[in-house]
Amino acid sequence: MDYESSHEEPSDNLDSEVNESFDQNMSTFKDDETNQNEDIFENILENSDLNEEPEVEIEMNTSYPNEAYADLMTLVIKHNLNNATGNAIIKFFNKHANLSTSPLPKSIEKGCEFMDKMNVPHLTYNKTCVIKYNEEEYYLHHRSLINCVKHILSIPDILKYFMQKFECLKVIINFSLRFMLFLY
Amino acid sequence: MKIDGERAYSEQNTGIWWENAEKSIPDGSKLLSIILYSDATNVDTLGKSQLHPIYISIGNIKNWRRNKSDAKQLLGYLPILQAKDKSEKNSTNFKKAARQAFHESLKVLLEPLLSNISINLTLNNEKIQFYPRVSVVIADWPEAATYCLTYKSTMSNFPCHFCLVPRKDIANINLRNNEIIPRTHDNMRLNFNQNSRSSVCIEDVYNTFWDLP
Repeated sequence: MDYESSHEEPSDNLDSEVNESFDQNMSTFKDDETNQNEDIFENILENSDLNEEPEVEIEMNTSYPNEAYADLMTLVIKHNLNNATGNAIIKFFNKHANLSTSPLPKSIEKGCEFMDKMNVPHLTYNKTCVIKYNEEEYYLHHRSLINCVKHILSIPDILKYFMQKFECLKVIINFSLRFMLFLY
Repeated sequence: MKIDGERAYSEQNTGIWWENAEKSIPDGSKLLSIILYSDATNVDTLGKSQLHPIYISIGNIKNWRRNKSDAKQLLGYLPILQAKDKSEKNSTNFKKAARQAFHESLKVLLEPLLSNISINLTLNNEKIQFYPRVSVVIADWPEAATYCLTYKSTMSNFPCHFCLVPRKDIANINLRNNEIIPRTHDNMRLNFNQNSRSSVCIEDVYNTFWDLP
């Protein structure tokens, strides 16, 4: 599951960015402009940061809040469902499950956000500034090499095919084969 | 025609590299062969945005199993430098910066290997000491040139990133073994330090791979 999510996340992000957050971006952009005009740019930015932070901290989790939530996200990722379909599933579930509080996210976008902020130890990426060119800093996004190795070796069946020692292979031709070659 | 008793090669651990590398690590510890591969790819249909992923796999795993999609991991995204225009993109400065960025990134990625440390892994409830070594780097030609810091042009005097065979001889199938001088860390480093880089067609950027054990 972890592995799948690591691969599918980027596309999910793209989807949600394209579909939904475009309008949001536009509005924040406008806000920024007005801020600059009023010369109280920094103050307001700080304030907005404060407003956003509590949300982030609540969502810093290592796992999903419940099994239904996890299963829904797995389903969406596995079948590559778009957000509209995912939201329809949420609606369907809430309507027929007869639960007072829904275990599912409010929408797929919220679910994606949650996954982005999930703190899975061996999926965390570091950001290192590698070079500064033309006044711009370029970053390398990377994971720890050791963690990658550990992750690969944690795949259940892989150790069966894991070679630990040097082997010197020699050609062995058995007699019958040699005899055949001789005949031809 | 195969001769009985002749050396045969199949998986990585039957190769000469493995044999030699195993001799270089302390007794009782094991070799962990690391495979790196990278290629810049377009992430949209117009080819406007690119990412440069680098992946890692483990050479100890048998070939057919390793080739399944779950036996490799995304190690990171290398930075891609942006140039303002075409002339800047072709400038010496830009190209040098791109190479530096590439090798700086490799330095960060391969940092756990640089100090020749061992890592302890628990396999089947058994704690084993492994020495990680980069065994294979998979890349296409321009990228291989960036890894080895050789001149990219096919018209350079020594266009191959493996050997120091001059351009006119590169298609010559009658070359004898002693006429093929391989590029090694030692002879490249020597030329780098003696400021005779252009005589062997390498760039003026320090190669991170020279520091690997």
